[in-house]
Amino acid sequence: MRCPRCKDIYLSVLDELDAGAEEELKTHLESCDECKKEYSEVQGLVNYLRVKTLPDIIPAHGPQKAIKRDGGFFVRFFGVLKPAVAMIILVLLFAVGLQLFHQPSLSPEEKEVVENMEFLKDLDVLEKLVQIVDGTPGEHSSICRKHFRMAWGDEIYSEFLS
Amino acid sequence: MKGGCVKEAEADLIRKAQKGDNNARNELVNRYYEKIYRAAFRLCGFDREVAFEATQETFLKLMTRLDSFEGKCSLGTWLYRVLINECLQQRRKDKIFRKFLKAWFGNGSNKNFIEPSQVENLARKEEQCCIKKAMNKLSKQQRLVVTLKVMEGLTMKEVAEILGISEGAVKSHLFRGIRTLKEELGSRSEL
Repeated sequence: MRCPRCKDIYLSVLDELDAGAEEELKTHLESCDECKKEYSEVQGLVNYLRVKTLPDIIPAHGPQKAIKRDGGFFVRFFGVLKPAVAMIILVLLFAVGLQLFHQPSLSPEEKEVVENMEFLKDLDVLEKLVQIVDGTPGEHSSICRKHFRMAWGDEIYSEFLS
Repeated sequence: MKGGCVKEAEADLIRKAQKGDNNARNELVNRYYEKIYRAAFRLCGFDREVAFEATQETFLKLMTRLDSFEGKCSLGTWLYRVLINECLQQRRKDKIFRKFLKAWFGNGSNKNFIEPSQVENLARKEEQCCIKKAMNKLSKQQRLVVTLKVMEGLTMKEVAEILGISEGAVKSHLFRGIRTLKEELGSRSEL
């Protein structure tokens, strides 16, 4: 399209041309076949675009309305399993949490003390038993000394006995 | 509210809606819903579900941001602006996820829509597919201008205001866009 009126044609079709220019264009179209053809083509295109691009349905609206989709097999299958998967994940998280926040590990000496706690509770009874068996006072008992050395060390043992 | 370009009747309605009047809010949604959905459908590549999502998001933003609406432009212009951003986001999302989801997790048919007859639907979809292909040959600005001006029938001034460009730029994008579409769809539009 070489005619300089081309842009006026577009504007006229789109109702953007003022009245004076519209009249001028009409007069021009009567004498120019090329512009006449262009005008009908552009008008055809605009009408085509306006009509064919209209949506077939205007959906109902509402603020709470959300789109629900029909999922395929995977969506339905995993949809059913959702609670089970959630439970498994929770249990795993709990286990990992327990491991992380568990009490700090004890040194060998501390472990030995913990193991001997029950034994220390019955210390009085045990000491009396040893005295009866050995026929000697508790502080000189070799068995008693041995046990305390294992658990507390010499210093604590002597302190304890005094 | 500042600015005087909002029509008085609409300004009243907006004022009421800002004060929490539910009837005024519903009236605003009803007034613009069809227009906005139609534009969304055209901007989102004729995908009904994407258009519906974009429309819902647009009105959700209207409800949440209504208090901050100052009336510097008309509500229609403001809604179109929000819609364009939503549609661009939806198109981006669509490219990444939707094709994958449709291929592997079902067809995603929407219960909000009642299907028209199959033959009518196929013919319509074919036409829209051709238009979509032709529209994809335009630049982003040309596509927006053609959609708003040619399909939606807004004025040059409104399009310029929505897109934040001059009327001259709108005209330039429009002429180029129409020329490309004429080349691509010439034979179809003559039918």
